[in-house]
Amino acid sequence: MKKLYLIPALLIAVGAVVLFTGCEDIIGDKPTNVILSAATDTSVMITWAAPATAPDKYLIYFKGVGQASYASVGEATTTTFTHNPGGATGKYFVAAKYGSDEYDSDVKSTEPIATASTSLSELNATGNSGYGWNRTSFAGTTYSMAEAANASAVDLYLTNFAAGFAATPYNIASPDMGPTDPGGVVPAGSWRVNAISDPITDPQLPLPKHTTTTYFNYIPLNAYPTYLAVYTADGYYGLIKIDGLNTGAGTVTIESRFQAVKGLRLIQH
Amino acid sequence: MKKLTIALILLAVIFIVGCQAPQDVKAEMDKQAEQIKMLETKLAEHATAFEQLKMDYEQHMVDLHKKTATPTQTKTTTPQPPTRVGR
Repeated sequence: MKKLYLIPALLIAVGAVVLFTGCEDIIGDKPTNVILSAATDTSVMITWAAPATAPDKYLIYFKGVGQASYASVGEATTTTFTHNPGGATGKYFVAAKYGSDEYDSDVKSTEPIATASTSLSELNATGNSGYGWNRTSFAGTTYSMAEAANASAVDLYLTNFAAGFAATPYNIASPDMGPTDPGGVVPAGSWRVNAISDPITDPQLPLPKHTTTTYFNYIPLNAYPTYLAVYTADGYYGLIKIDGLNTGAGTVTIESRFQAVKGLRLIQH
Repeated sequence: MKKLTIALILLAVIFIVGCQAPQDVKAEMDKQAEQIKMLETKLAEHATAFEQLKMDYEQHMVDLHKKTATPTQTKTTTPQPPTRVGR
């Protein structure tokens, strides 16, 4: 009689062991520290840190600008992957795959950082003439060119290379031209030596590759709106749209897209 | 024998119910992870918008406190641009 109670008890105990060891459980973890960098000026290198438990493999997902959903663009067994997006920008994440389970990393993006239209003044007009992108937020801001302290923040400025602001055409110039500008308001300083492209016809296409035949120390503005590419001294690409010429006030409007991945000239938005 | 059968059935029920629970938890976690991802994207968008608002406000304040436009000179002269060089 005693044995009859013992058998079910034993079976339940064995069952409990099976329950806690045999069931599908959460055994994996997501990749961390995903970093996007430029493999070339039009392709993206994705690197990440492996989770504590090594997965079977990693899947790399990409969602291009204007696309509705993510699609796998490749897989890897190491912690790096290079993707050629064919001129597109977009969002990436890496999934660690354990059997049929996937653990997704945080999302990183190559979409350029947009800064809305703001007023930019000619060097001798009232208002800020300098414009630069913050290297942490990658947002654009206007700066006074009359203060040497702004030298490390300015990426371009608006000038007519003359005293006063009445004469046209206006130009977009590299900040290092400021101290010798006839406008006469820019103090000496370590102004950035940047480069500006000729006008761009399609602002969605990759920006022109930086060479000394495609980028210059300044560009005259002969039409509005005008799209220009900027290549910064520290290796970033940005796109600016100049519009709204007002010679009475000596202003134009500027809006921008800045590629936060250094060296990448993809700008689709 | 009857008790043994009952015990086996009991074991099967525990096994099925026990396995189902982690599956449900995982599905719920996946759903929440997706929501967190969406919220992170929205947060980034709001942060950018906020930065822009801040910049616009600062610019507005600068303009507000400045005196009437006093261009250093307004004479119209043909500007002599510097040499344009590739770089």
